[in-house]
Amino acid sequence: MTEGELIEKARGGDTEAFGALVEAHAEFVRRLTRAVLHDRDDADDAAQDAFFSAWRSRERFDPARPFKPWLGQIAINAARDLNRRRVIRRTEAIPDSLPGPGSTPAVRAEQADLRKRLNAALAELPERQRLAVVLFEVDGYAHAEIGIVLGIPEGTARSEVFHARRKLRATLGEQKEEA
Amino acid sequence: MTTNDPFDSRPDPVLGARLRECLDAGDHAAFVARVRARLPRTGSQWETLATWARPGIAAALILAASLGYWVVLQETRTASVGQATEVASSDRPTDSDGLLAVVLGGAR
Repeated sequence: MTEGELIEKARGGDTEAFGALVEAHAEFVRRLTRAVLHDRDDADDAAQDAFFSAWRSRERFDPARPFKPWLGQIAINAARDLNRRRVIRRTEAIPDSLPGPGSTPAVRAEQADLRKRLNAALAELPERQRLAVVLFEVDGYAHAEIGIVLGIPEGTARSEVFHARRKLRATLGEQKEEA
Repeated sequence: MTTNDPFDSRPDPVLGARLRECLDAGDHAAFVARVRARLPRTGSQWETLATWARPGIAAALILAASLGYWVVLQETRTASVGQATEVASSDRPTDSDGLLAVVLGGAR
């Protein structure tokens, strides 16, 4: 079943179809909420809120427009709402993911260090820059699309991506130089 | 290929992969299962009813208005026929204006 068909069914109240959309976009939505909220549990709560909000407002979705940016806007709003409502538990350092098989302790330590630095660099970026660079680098959005999702002009989106990637590359560059 | 030119308008695959890894919350299957479990199962019945409510009310109003119009029309006709019968069967002489009024009233 195509995404368009799933959306049509979901708009008619089909929870199974909506569940399939949740499955298809869970990673994207969780990534955006995580970019706004550093705490992993808060980010997941916001991601869930986003999907329920999308479910409630599904009839307002215009099928002529792309679904993913619409969902992205809802996710960002949900994360911002949660940010306002809650005292964020703490700025949790993003845990190191499991090392790949066969990696040496030295390589694992280096990867963990890089993640820690990148995490810290991300946390220092203004929220809009974080979202812009994630949408650009990870999700492959064009500047104009980023502008639509974030509700900013295309030129501003371009500028946000530029500043964010410059700072993040500096972090990656430091790592290379040290290695 | 990664370039370090921040003006480059193409995504940087290395930076993208690092960010993806950094922001990956993991265990998407469990997350999806939690969301699916909380989606309304029977809520859709109420929502289906709700979607039918507006056209249903409109249809009921149209039906009620039509029925009301029909009842009024029938009463008017009955009254006109009654009047005409009364005029025709009356022993009193009837003037032409009175008869015309009754006939025209019944035709309306």
